[in-house]
Amino acid sequence: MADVATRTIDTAGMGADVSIRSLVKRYGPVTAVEDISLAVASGEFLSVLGPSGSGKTTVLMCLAGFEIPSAGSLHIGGREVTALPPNRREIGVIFQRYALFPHMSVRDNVRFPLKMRGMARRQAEAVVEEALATVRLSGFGDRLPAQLSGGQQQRVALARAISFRPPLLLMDEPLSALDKKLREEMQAEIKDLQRRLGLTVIFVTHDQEEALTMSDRIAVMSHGRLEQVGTPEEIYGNPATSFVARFVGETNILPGIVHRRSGQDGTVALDGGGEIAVPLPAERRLAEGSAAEVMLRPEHVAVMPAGSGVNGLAARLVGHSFAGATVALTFEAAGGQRLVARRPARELAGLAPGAEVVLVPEAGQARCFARTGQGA
Amino acid sequence: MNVTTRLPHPAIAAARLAGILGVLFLLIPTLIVVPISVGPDKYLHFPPRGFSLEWYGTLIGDPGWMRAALFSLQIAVLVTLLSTALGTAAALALTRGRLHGARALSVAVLAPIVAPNIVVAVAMYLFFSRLGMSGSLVAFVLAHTVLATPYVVITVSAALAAADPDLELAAMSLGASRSRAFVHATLPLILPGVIAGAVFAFVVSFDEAVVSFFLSSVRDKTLPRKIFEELDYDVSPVVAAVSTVLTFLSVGLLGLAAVLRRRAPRAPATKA
Ligand SMILES: Nc1ncnc2c1ncn2[C@@H]1O[C@H](COP(=O)(O)OP(=O)(O)OP(=O)(O)O)[C@@H](O)[C@H]1O
Ligand SMILES: [Mg+2]
Repeated sequence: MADVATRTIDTAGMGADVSIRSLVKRYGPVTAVEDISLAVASGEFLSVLGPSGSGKTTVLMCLAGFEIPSAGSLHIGGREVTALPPNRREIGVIFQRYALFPHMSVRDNVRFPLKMRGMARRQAEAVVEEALATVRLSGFGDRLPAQLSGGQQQRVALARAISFRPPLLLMDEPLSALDKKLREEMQAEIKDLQRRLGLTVIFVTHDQEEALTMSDRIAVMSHGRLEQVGTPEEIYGNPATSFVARFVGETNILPGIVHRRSGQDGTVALDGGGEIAVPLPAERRLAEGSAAEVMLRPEHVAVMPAGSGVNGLAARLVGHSFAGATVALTFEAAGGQRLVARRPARELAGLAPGAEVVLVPEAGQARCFARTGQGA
Repeated sequence: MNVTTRLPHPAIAAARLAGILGVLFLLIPTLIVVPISVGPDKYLHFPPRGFSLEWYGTLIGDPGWMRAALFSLQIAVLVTLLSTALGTAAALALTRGRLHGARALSVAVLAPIVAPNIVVAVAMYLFFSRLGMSGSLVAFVLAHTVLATPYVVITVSAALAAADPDLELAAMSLGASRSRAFVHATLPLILPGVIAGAVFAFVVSFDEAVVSFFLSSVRDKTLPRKIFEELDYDVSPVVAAVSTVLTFLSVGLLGLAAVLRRRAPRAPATKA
């Protein structure tokens, strides 16, 4: 691999496309991943988002080659890697706890992959310096990992993972050990690095905010299956399942019965009383009379004074919590149904707990799902 | 964490004093052989009436003692090599492998520590005498390896528990084969534990008396067994001299093991 050093770190468009085909992974009786198919484009930043135990790490471990799939195949850059040992896959892997070699200096850590590839020492020195400069850690080469902060350690791990120019970077919750401010800094830094190098990145997280801000696309997992794959806008604005709607962002959940459907529209009679108009696209197989759940984001709930004549749900303010520019208002509607509205902070003026209002869902923003056993 | 390094509370001070006295009480029989060994008397006498290294000279000049010492050394070195390799492999399999019955295996590996030595000794004696190998180097090495391996398993397992298993995965993702990943990522971290285990194994074998008592033949005997025999017909201060040498060698080696275990490199704390 002598050509490693001849490429420069700023060459873009080196990312590999990834194709996961019908991946299954079982551990004895436990099925950790159940029939997942997913294509990631070259240079794409894809987040795998899901609750604990949903199989995110397992997918990553299979891609990295640390686990052998029970069924299915994996392709990276057009090459099948399903049974290839990890050291022959050319993938950079970033671990949650950094996994820096504690007995080696920062420089030796970053040089490790080059040494494994038999690169001459002089040549490797230059590549190491360049990689350290890329993560803004020039001059830290002689330190031991224990002498660095968490953020610095993760940057060393990044430098080490990119020094051998892999076309694909896998990251398993790389920022979860960092505090909020540092995490946001590192998010920006990783995004910047990925863009500059044109890397394909698969990024595992259970932090939906992180996934929404960083990703080109998000794959939402639950119980070893893919719930939805889409852009952050699609995932947030048009969740495919009630699981996605609940897991990504805040949402109000209103149980009811489909009252009337005509074409792409319909209404749902809420269990607590009142009716709400919802879009009912053809793929939502919800017949009239079937149990449904309406999901409404807090920012799509307008608050009107009672008796203003508009159509909506009568409710009473029971509490509010201030969050800088916005305020979250909690209401109780008929039947004890709770609803949260997120409004610009100034709208709180004149509203005191106990105030009677009418809540008006923003047209076309409510989402309706079949009511299943799970959740509420 | 260490409360005792702060202000010594009266109760803590008392406990400390009791501890020191207890240790002294345990050490006195061992330490008493040291002055006896440097006394000029022909018989064991305490306190010594003078100072002489005569008995150490006799010891070195005696082909019987030297033969036993060399035999013991030969056994101990072979046992050290064998049990360090076996014990390290077993510790790896037990802590890192996905073994069915890992629990049963670890009980089996550690059993010789718990089983009474005399039981192990009789079993070994019956086994090897039936094979006609009693008294042979092979019999000693195998028997002592059974006794020494658990110590290696314990020290290496402790070292492995402190080494992050992700390190080996990281090494592999960076281009190292499985074996190179172990050598570069894990071995340097557990090496102090491995060496400490090796030292333990050496001491266990070199000082071992019960099994050796049964396995020794008239011609081939280990140092501890030779001490037994000498005590039987001639209680000379040479025995005290041998005991002194054995004691200092063991204490020195175990001290070394303790230092090594403390100097193991640590993973950096994952700061939040
Ligand atoms: N080595 C293993 N042996 C047995 N079961 C396993 C193993 N690894 C994972 N599992 C199981 O597979 C399922 C998925 O685990 P996985 O680690 O992929 O989840 P995850 O989405 O990464 O969760 P987290 O957010 O907690 O890291 C879990 O039910 C887990 O218990
Ligand atoms: Mg995980």
